[in-house]
Parts: sequence; structure tokens; C-alpha cells
Amino acid sequence: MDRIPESARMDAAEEELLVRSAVGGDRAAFLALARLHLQPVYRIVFALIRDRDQARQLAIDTFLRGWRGMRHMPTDQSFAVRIGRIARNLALAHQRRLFTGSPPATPAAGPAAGADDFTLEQCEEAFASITPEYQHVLVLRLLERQTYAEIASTLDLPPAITISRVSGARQAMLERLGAASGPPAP
Amino acid sequence: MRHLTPQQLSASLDEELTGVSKELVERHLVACPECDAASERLSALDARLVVLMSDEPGEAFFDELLEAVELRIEVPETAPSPVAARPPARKRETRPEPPRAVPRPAPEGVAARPAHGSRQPWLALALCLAVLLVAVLVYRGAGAPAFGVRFETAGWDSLARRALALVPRPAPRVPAAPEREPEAVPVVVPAPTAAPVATSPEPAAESTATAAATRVAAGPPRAAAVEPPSPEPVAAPAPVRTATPARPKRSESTSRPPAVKAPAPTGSSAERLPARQTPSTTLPGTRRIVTTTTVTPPPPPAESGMVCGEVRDRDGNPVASAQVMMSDVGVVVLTDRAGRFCMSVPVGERTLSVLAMGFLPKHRPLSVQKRTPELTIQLESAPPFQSQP
Repeated sequence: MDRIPESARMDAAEEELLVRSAVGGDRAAFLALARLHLQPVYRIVFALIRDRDQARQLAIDTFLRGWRGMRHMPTDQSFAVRIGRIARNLALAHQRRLFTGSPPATPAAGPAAGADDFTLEQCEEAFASITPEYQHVLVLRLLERQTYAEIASTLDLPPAITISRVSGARQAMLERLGAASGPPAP
Repeated sequence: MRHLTPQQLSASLDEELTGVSKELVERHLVACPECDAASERLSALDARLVVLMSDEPGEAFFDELLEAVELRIEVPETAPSPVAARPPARKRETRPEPPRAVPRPAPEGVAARPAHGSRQPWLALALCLAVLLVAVLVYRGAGAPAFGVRFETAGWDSLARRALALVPRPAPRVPAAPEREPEAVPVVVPAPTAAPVATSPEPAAESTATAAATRVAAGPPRAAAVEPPSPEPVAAPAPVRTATPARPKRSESTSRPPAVKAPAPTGSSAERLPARQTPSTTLPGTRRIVTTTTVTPPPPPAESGMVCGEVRDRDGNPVASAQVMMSDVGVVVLTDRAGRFCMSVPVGERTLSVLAMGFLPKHRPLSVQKRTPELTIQLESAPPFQSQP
């Protein structure tokens, strides 16, 4: 949620004022916040869904849910954190419903294949076949550029589990792609 | 050579290693081409994934998305739309959402009902209360044993007739109506209630009515016991319909003794007793029930007085934050830094208690007047605590 366009950036104090007004039921203030955070929310949702129409619908639902819960928003919470969490939860719930766990229909090259040997389509199939939890952690790390500590805080995980989950997500991707999943066994 | 673990490779790629472990991994990657290739592979995978996750639909898309959000967000006064309240499972559809379902018109003669329960629970509650109130009024008006009186006639017909007679018919004004009195059935007051008046010099036959009248006049039985007995035989009041517009409170009417009915009306008793009688409607073939309720005037507000003073220790130092209380009237105040306090309590004989940390509690009787003289309370230090061996 830190990838706010420069044109849309505003002072923290100004945003806090908007949040305070929106908590009080000011619709215009909430729409101003929505304008500010629309693109980051859409990007988070799209990264998990990878379908433009569905991501658009989930982004709308995200702001609707955020608006409905605005009255109960803690004063010490950032709007970006809150709306980002809503977006991720909605997208993850969507992914969990669609998740079948079946491997991709067209595996990539053999075990010795390199990263350049599989296409984006194969990559997308492999990404869709890993668990939503792995997808989530990859989005947090690669798209949102969160550190391991931030991922641990976002997912409420211990740091050691966070390290193994990021690593496991990458290995799962390589396995689905049929590539060598890592170096030889130590 | 031991190769790097996937966790080490991943953490190295994400630059999460620090210190010695970072140095060791970097040194190993230089020395081990297999691990270096694996690291390159992961890096390339990350790049592909970033491309996969990214989407740049353009400004127009976001403008349209913002308009859609704006259209869907309602003002807080209105209820959330059913589309917004849907679980996320239904929001997978990418087609434009159909218009909101219009509730079907109810068939003729059938009242339309809300789609999902009542949205105005207070209305349903008010209706229930109103129905309950009407039922209670009809029940009591029909001669239910709410006042300790039982009807001898029963049956649905008589109940229905009583209910019909109660509702629309304007009751004729009956001022004392002594000629109707013989219709009434005297209600015998239970024997124990006559006990406090048994010492009255009047004959025993009249003691029942005297006791009832005394209770009615003085309110609670405790007050009746204090009041001296009347020198004259006092008969219970006749069923007089008073012109007072105010209705007695339900709690008072239910807390009163049962029905009081005297055979002989006396005009003086009606003046002496602040009682209100509510004659019930008499139907042909039924006995007439007369109930008596009284409205006791509220006790006059007790005059309050100010009690001020100061709390000091044995050396004359002020004791701050000491609790000064009059538990019999439920007033507690704390002393200020100068050990001073002030409280407003009803005038009378009270007991003042002072509690403070490190001091023995102190209780002293106090006669509270409208202007009580200044108090000086000295507290004794509590003995030091000694633990049991």
C-alpha cells in the first residue's frame, strides 16, 4: 500500500483529517480517500485474482466494505493499512473458493529447465495452482515490497514461519513449473 | 560442499540476511555455481511473477472505477444496498448487476409484509405492548381477581359482555348514589390487617372498617401503626366517583390493600380520606365490584443542611483524600488537600464516619441542622501492620 502515485500523495495531516471526517460519516471525505487509494487497492486485488473484471468488482466491494465499517475504524489505524487488509481478505476469500489444488495442465520444461524456458501463461497457471496462502505471501513480497518483518506483521506470523513461507512459495512455483526447485540437497 | 538451503537462497534474494550469515551466503554463491544458478532462477521467477501480478489498465479505467465506487456508496442514513451486503461469493460475476428486485405486490386483501423481517422492531414492540395493555385493562375491567375479589359468574359469554360493555359505553356519572349501594358486595378485609387497631376502644364490629380507613389514610401499614386511632368510628368511604382528572398510578393501585367496601356511606369520611374509588361497571346478572385505590401524597422533601469541616491527624496535619461518609443517607465525599470537606445531607440525627489510609476509622453521631457548625475530626494513626509468624 505504499505505492501511491506522486500526484495523489497528500500530507499525512490532510489524510488524517479526511479519515476523521469519513469516520464521522462524511461521504465526500471517504470518496477523496477512495480516489487516493484506488490504484493500490486495485493492484493488490489484481495481483491475487489476475482478472481485470473480477479485480474491478472486488475493488468496488473493498471500498463498500470500508465505507460500511468506517464508523468503527480505530483512530490509531492507518486508512491505507485498513483498506489494504480488506482488499487482501476479499481477494483471498475469492481465491480460496476457486482453489482446487490441481497442478497446471501444461507443465513447463523438464527438471533442468531454466527460468527463461517457461512462458507467462505457464507461470500464471503455476501461480494459480499454488495455495492462496503462498500466493498471498508472494504478492506481499514481490508486489508490495514488504520486508519479512512487515509480512510477519501483516499475516500475524512468527518471523521464522515467514521465512519458510516465502521460500516455500517460490519452491512451489518452481515445482509447478517443472523446473529444478533449488540447488542440490545440501 | 554443503549447498545453501532454499530458505537461505530466498532470504538472500530478498536481502533479508545480515551480518555473518549474509557474508557466508555471498561467499558461497561466488564459490558454488549450482547455488548461484538456483539463485538466478529464483530471481528470474520473481521478475516473471511481478509482470504477472501487474496490470496497468489506464487512467480511464480508474476514473470509471471511482465512479462506480461513488455510485455504490450511499449516505450513512440509508440502509446498505443488498448488493453491498452480499457475501463476496456472489461478487464474482463480472456482468453488470441486475436492478434491485422489486417486491411483488401483495394480493388483494393481503397486507404487504416486509421482505426480511421487520425493519422497525420498535413498532412491533409498541404494538405488543399496546395489545398487552388492552388485554390487561379488559381483564381487570372484567373483574379479574386483581383486588382479591372473585366473580362467581364465569364463562365466555359473560366475559364478552363485560368487555363489550367496558369499551364504548360512556359510564353515567354516579355521585355518591346511596340508592345503588345495596347492590354492592362487602369485601371482608383479611383478619391480620385489623390487628393494629384491635386496641381501639371502639366495638370489634367496627374495627375492621376503622383499620382499613386508617390504612387508606396513612398509606403503608407501618405509618398506620404509628398514627393514633381515631376517636370516632370511621367507616370506609363510599364508592364516590371523584372529578379529579389524574389517574392513580398503577403501582400504587396494585400495592394497596384489597378492595374496601363499607355498607354505610358517610360523607365525612370521603372528605377526610384522600381516597379515590373506581367503581366497576355493573352488568345485569353480575355482582357489582367496587375497588378502592388511594393516592398517597409524596412525602415533603426533607430539608437538607450543609456539613463542613476538616480532618486532621494527631499532629494537626490535614488528612487529604479521606472518605467522609454518612452511610445512612448514602453520601460520601473526599477531603481535599487541606483536609476539608463539605456535604449536603438531610437534616436529622446522622452518623458521620471518616476513613483514611493509615488511620483508624472514626464514627461519631452528628445532629445535622440547616447550618451545622464547623467540624474538626481528628484521626488516630493505625498501628503498624505485623505479619503473623
